[in-house]
Amino acid sequence: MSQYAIEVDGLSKSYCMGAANGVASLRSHLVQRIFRKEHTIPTGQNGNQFLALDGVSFNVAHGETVGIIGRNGAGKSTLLKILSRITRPTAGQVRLRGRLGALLEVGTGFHPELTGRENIMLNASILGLSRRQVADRFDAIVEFAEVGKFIDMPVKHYSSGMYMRLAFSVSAHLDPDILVLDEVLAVGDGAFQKKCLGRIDSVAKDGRTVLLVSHSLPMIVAFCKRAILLDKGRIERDGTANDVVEYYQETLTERSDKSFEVLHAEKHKTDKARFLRIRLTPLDKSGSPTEVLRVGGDLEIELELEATERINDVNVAIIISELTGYRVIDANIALKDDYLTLSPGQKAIVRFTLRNLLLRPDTYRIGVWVGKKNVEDISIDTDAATITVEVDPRNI
Amino acid sequence: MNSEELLISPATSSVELQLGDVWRHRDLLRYLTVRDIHMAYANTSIGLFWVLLQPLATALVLTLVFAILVRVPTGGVPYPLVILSAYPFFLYFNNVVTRSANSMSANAHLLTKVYFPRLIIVLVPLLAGLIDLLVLLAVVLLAAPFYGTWPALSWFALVLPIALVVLLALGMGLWLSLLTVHVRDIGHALPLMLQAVLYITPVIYPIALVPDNWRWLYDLNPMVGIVQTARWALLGTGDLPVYALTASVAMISLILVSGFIFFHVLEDATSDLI
Repeated sequence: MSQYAIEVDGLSKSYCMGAANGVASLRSHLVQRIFRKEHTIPTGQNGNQFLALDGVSFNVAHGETVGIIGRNGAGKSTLLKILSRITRPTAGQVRLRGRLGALLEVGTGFHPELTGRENIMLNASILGLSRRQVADRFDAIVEFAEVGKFIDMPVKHYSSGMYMRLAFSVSAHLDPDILVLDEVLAVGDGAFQKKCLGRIDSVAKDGRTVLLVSHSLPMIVAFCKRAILLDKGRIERDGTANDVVEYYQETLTERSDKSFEVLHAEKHKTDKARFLRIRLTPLDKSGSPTEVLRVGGDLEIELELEATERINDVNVAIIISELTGYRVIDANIALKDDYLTLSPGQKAIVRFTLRNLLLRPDTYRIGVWVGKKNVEDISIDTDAATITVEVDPRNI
Repeated sequence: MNSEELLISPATSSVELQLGDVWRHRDLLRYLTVRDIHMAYANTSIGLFWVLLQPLATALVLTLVFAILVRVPTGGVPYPLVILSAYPFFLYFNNVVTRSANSMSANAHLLTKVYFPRLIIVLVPLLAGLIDLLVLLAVVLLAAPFYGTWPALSWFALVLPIALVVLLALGMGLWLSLLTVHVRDIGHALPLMLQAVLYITPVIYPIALVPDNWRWLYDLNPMVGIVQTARWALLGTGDLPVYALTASVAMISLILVSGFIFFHVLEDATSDLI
């Protein structure tokens, strides 16, 4: 087939920041629409427009599997939202040939009070299947989900594993011509995860077009022949998955060194001490530095801080949280009853080594804190760095 | 591979009703409606009873106040029938408008994750509420003979006020569902406005209490035509309220058409705000 499955042409999307709602924005929308004013692409000089996508163009052939990668805020989610018609672009257009099934979340519309059977019907119809199509797939869905006789029980009584399995199972049986996936794969236990990945692999091998957004670079390499790297709403690189992933990993390590060398002063609570530097080093089993942090790997976090006056009983902490802000790890030197005493101008290096980090593959925020024993905050930065935990490829 | 082709572009300027799109998603509409009905009564052992209790209790209280204490003149019609013939329609309007006004934020988790015509979200409360309305009306019809009103052919005409109140609620839903997302104050003002509707509609009092020289204005409230037509159909007293009914149909058409246009114009600007 000579035509492309997806043609993206000059796609831009701007969001209004600040005055998100209210009468003023309502009026401007109405004026814009009723008088058919051209949508202008704001240049950002007025400060409250944010360009999530900025003139993105690419084509995807039928049967191609393409990975979309990029840092948080690079525009990946916005691209998916436009492709799945959740939001409209501000400029540019997309032409899709074939039925598109988007999976931005597992279990959309699942309701705890409904039974497994009812949820399958509801969820499948939300995802765009007709009653007929659901009926055809129903047995396969139930079998794949391994929920068996619980199918007529409200899903609120399901274990979380069963819930996720059922939810993924519906999604896995959508059979669209173009499948768009957003990091939904970290579901269930290892065995089920393998099954999910196998399913996606078979969809891809089936000659369907797959667009996969993931933070997990090994997964991109494993499933996609081609990858597109987005940065600040533009395409930074488009090529074979191996090349793009390699390039991305290089820029990633470069950047994290630079941008976190000095932490922003305005985040400081007091002037008594400040952080100068944070360095994250994944370690391999022998304790030497490696490129990526994998599930179960070791991570060394090195902080450098400087005092401007004499402080006793200084405690230093690191906080690892999910992007949602949920804290997963808190560690501080007081755990070892070890406090610092700093004199004016003195620099101190504190090194945390976290062994066998069993964090699921995702991106995490690392925050740093310095304070006095028990009470007083001296300095805190909840977003000092980010780290991405990768799937261990040996476990896929 | 099918040849289905779809163009995604910035907001179109023409007003299309998307009814074809809604039709393609009819199964979703059905399941969401069933979910809504199911949710309302899940974990209640006497589900249907609650549908009836609230309006019947209200009717009882109002009967005590207006028929026994205030002694509202009803022209010979038993007061319970005066209220029971009108209150179900108001209740439907009240519940559906309240729910469609909140429908966008209540379904934010769906709207931000998957595409379907947003109109469906507004249609769901409309259909789910219809069950309650029909059940309640059935009870009223069963009760009518006890108050001396026997089944008549005019009962079939109840279809008219039912259709009108559904269309009116749809029009209001089209306006309010998106408006509340943009102007949150509406959510707070709404209960007050609905209360006002109750008082400017002859629900708890007979229309005879309204001064004749104000009727031309009073009847512009589309609920007046609905309620009066329902009374005419159910009680079989007086004539079909032609002026009120015409005014009602005209107002409903206006609200519905403007609502569709408003909804279409604002729809695209909304999913980014929820």
